[in-house]
Amino acid sequence: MSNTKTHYRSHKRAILTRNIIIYIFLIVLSIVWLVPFFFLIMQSLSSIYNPMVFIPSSYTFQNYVNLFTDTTFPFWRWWINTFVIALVTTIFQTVFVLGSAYAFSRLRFKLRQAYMKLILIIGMFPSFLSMIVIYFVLQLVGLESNIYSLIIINVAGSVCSYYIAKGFFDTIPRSLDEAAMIDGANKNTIFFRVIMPLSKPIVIYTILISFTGPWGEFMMSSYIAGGNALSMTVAVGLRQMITQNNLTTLFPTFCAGGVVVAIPIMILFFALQKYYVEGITGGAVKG
Amino acid sequence: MASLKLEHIYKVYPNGTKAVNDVSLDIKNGEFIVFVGPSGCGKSTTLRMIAGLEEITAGELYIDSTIVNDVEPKDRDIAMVFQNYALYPHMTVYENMAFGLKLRHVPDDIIQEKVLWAADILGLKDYLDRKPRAMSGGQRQRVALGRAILRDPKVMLLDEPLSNLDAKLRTQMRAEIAKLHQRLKTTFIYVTHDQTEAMTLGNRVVVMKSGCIQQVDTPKNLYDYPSNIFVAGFIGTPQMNFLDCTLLKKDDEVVIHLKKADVDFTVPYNSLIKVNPNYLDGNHDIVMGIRCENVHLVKDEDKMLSMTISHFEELGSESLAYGSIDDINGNPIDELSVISKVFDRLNYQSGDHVAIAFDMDHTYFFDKKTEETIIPRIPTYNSFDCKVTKDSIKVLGETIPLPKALINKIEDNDKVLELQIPSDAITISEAGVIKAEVVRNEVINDVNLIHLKSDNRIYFMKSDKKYEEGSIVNIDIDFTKIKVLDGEKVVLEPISSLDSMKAYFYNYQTVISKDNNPEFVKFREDKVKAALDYMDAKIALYKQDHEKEIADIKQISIADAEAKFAELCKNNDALVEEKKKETKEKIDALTKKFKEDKKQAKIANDKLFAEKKEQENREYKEFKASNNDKEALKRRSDEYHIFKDNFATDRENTLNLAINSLTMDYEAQISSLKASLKREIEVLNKEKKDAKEKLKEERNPQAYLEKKYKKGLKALEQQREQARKRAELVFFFRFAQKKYIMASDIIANKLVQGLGTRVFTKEFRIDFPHDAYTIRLDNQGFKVRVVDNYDYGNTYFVKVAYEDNGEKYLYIRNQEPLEVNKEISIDFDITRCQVTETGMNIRLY
Repeated sequence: MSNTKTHYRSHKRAILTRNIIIYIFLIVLSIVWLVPFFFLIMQSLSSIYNPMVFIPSSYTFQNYVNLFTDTTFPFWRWWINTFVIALVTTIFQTVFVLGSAYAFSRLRFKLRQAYMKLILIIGMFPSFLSMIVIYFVLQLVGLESNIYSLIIINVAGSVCSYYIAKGFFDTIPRSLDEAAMIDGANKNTIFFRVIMPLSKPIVIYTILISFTGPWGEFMMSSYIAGGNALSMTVAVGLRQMITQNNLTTLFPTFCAGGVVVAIPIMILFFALQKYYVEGITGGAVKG
Repeated sequence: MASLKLEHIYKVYPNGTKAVNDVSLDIKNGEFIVFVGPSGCGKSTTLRMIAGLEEITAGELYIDSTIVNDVEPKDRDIAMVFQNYALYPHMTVYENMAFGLKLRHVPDDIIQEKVLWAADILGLKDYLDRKPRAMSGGQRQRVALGRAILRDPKVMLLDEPLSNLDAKLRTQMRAEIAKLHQRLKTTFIYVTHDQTEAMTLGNRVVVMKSGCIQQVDTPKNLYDYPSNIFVAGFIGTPQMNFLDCTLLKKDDEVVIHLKKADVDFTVPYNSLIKVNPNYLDGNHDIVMGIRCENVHLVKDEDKMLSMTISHFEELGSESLAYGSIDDINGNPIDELSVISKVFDRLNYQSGDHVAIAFDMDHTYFFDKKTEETIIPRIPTYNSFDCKVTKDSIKVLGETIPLPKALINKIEDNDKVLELQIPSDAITISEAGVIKAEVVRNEVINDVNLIHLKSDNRIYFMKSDKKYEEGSIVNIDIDFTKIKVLDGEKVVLEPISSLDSMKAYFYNYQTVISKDNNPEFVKFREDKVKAALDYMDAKIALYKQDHEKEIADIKQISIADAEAKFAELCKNNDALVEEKKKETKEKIDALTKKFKEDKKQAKIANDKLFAEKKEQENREYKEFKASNNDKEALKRRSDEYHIFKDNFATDRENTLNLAINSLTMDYEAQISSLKASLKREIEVLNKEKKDAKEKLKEERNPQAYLEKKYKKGLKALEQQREQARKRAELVFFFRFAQKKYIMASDIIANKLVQGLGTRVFTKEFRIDFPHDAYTIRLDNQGFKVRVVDNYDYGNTYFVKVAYEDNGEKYLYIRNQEPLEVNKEISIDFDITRCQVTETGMNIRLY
């Protein structure tokens, strides 16, 4: 009789074993994920090019210094370019996405459903499909090979990602809008003074998404830059840096560049991680 | 405070469902109106249309005699309480309540005063600086009520405000809402699906079902005089008993036959006197309704029917007996279930066959097909047996000559025919032939219903005047409205009270391009001129006032005013500093205390847990020493290990709990201090700002007045322009023969209001009463041909024909007959017509 009962200590042992297995699995996974980063950081600190080893024989910060001082490539310029593109895009995209999401969630107008589906379908096409056309259009208006065109392209397509924000707004009861309407608020007041204070998570989520997009984007940027070093973004520039002939000399510097690029994004994510999760799941569970 | 008027309100969704169907209602100033009905009956939609949150498809909504169909919710001066409270979660209670007033730019000190007033009424004073999240459901609803009352709205709308609360709170809040209404005396409109709320709160209750109003009346009248089966079943618990039956009148008695059980019982006719006589023929399917308190268990000698009791339900002071009516053989019929209220429960048992009797004064009868009551409170017509010869009619023991129009309409015969006289076709006048005794003078909603008796027969008459009960009067019959039937066959029919015509709606430009009638042009020019003249006079008056004001400017010393202003600034700044310092001190003290409390809590907690640990160790040791049973030891050791493993977390959790409650208190106090400081500073700064404005005005009063004047003048000029535009709008109806008739402004407004631009593509049915026509002598009107004349003694009905896809007829009420086959020309009095849109069958005017 007694052995059929689960006693506390044996139960505890079972839990412990299960936890150990889970943790081993997670540790292995995290190693797999972290190895590239580790490799990148180590390479960026190594003094000579030797991609075969994990731990370099000697450490130096010279690569980071080179990155900003070397005159053969304008890294500073690339960094500023990318930052400006990402920042401006973020501002516009946040405004556009929140505005259109609110409109789709709250206003009832003709063709609302049709618009929503249309935007969704357009968003499903990969952006490079339109690349050639976009290039010729930009050439027509004389905007090729500069960073403004990238801002315009990013902002123009920004509304495509309205869906999560709309889902979030849908969870805010409509009666709040109605109460505010009766209280004497117009649509602007409702949006800025009632809905926005309640939507912090989704605002931050939208900011993060719109910042990281242009920050790491490669294909369109490289196409638009068209070899003009002054209008490249970091992604394009770094790629340009390690062409065949100077792979061996510049690889550690390239790695240092990678680390520098990752820093702003990391800071953003660490600071806003809490809201980011709330933003993604906000639409799923009614709060 | 305001009165409300709903006129033929419809809500039709794009897919064609009518959520609200022809709702017309007058709501008096200060009334408490409750909309009640099952879910999906359109009550909430109606409320939301009143609030302006839902568009009105057709019909008009008036608040204080202005149409508000297209007025924004915020400009309707209403307040609404929502089912889910709809409080702004990121604002404190104070901010929630003040939000509406802030948006209206009410000065801060007034806002503060009002919020405190509302909080005082609702007992929210201690919670003003809390967020809604930290409050219970009842408190939240109170905040929502507070937010609504503090704007002092014309109308308060409450949309199922109590349905999110538990039963006890609901009763409490119900009483509070009733008190609030008494205190504020504002018009309340309250939507609920709970009939108890409806009956207890409402001055009047509107019962709705599938978008239609079923009945509007006081709770008492709803209970006593339900107008159809739905209302009868909806109001009152337990539900009214319904029994299928037929009624058959035999002399002075009526036999009620219960079909399913095949049993009869007989009641005197006088207790069913108001029942529509058509239904007393034993053929119509009728539903009899009777409430449980009017079903009595009686001794055998009073027995009407017998019933088998199936079970009882105890209510404490009384019991409900559930059972079924027995058929002739004593077998209960399941379809005829009856609930009866009994007070002497102990005398009966389940399964007993008992004698029952109905209180016939509180029995209701409904037509089974239409579900409408057949006992109207005001009977529409009286039915008499009569004998008709070709020139006279014998009824109520008197022979009355027929008017010329009716002579020879009916062939001479000996049959007993049925004569129907509407209750408004009977008048009391000296000329009358029939003598009658006034039996009773019943007052129903401002109408006097006179119960008359002649030849041992009671009948009814509507009247504006009261008549003394017991007096003998002479009555006269309006022959234009009578109807004579031979069994089912109609022998003589009155002329229907309205003539229908088809028409289309046109605007001025279209009409002028088709029929350039100088009358129309002149009318429009006059209208515009009158409107402009009125506005010009208004502007001239305004100018005069302004000149007088300028002349009246008094010079006051600027230096004084400036000194006063400077002093005020100094004072207020000092006060602000003082307040800030005070608050800071308080906050510092609180923070210090909070830190100390936290420390104390930690020490106390540690001590408590150290004791606990020691005790457990000691007990376990003792147990081990004194016990040899292996199983028991194992169990005890498990317990000990659990305690040991959880000890640290338990200690921390307990401490956190204590600290959390301390923190909550601390933060609430701090935020309340900060918020009240902020409010006080705002008030002081506002004072400064106002004083500055005033100073500016005093420095140069002329310029100030000039500015004000220009602003006013601009507004007036805009008004003038609007008035001109409004006056230029003239609309027409096009009738047959391409005849255009000007639609009056009221009608045109209603049509455009109701249908928008669709108004020009719709077809309308226009119904005229017979005296809305005038005969024109100049041949300019609508041309018709006289067909026939009907002579009703003192008045004639002239039947005329016109062509509109076949021959159509109108009946003109006239003082004299007209020559048959003569062409005449008539005009319509358009203000007296009714306008109906034929496509959706929406009555618009």
